[in-house]
Amino acid sequence: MAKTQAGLITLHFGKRVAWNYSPELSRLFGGFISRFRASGPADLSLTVGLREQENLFEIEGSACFFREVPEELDFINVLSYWTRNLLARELADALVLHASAVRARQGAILMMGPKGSGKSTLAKALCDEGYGFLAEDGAPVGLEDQVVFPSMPMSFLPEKLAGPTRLFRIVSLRYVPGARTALGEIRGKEASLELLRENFNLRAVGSRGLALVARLSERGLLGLRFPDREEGLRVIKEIAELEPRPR
Amino acid sequence: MRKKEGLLTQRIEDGLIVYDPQADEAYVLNETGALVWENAELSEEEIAAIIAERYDVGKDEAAEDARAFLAELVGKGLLLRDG
Repeated sequence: MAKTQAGLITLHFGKRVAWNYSPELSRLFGGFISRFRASGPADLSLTVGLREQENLFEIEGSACFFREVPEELDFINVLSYWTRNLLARELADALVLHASAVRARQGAILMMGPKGSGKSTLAKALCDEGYGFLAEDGAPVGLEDQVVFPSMPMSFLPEKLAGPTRLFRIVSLRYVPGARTALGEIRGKEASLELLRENFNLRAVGSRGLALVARLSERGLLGLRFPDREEGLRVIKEIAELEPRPR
Repeated sequence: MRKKEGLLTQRIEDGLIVYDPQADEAYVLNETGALVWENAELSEEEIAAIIAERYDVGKDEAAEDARAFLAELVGKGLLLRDG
């Protein structure tokens, strides 16, 4: 691997990740990378370098291919994907849900669901309207305090990046073209099943993670089925304006 | 019957989560399932009697439900037959 130099530090699940990247990557992505620079000591340091061809690179000895000559977003996508996989499975102080997240007036709104359920689309739409970005694909919820930590975006560039934010609502998304919009509460077993299915690190968090699942499912999720971006956006914005429940 | 070692459980308001960290698989049991799970070390007859009393159903029906559910738990590797 080419000799590397200190690169960027990004926030992922509240952890500072130092990416030490090669001069070639600096040349290709320098401007973009500087946008996500964060200060402070790193919790994890990874080395990224290009191999002989520019569509083949290496993270800590593992080779990865770009499908095409990398664009800026391809690169950030790959870094985010790797970081998520490296960190999420080891993270022991938060349950990482398969969700995007934005900061609303009342706190963090998580939009949880499988691939294709509308997580990124709605997060982008909300960020375009001024909501602070928290996460696009993996949202960590603190096991004790239910604080959601920020992560790097993967497919779009939000204007505003939010800091750690206490959880307000979890919305389970289902994008169904042509369907009528439906919003309802999911509690108990059904909520537990969704949370157990849509997380990355239950094994790492063990019984403390299960306790969080129980608390969240008792509090209840919102289930939203929506037919298009505009309808999804409208309903999430309504949820964002709800008053918090009395404790 | 005995439970597989290392399983984690968590009560939820309407049931029980059983998580197998080794297989990284989680199961959500309803109230009846939870009752069977919590008494899984007893005999099938004893479990059936507990179900029959709790849910006011006949002993035969309770025995059939208990047997079927215990077999399912064995099939998933969560319960092991003694001996």
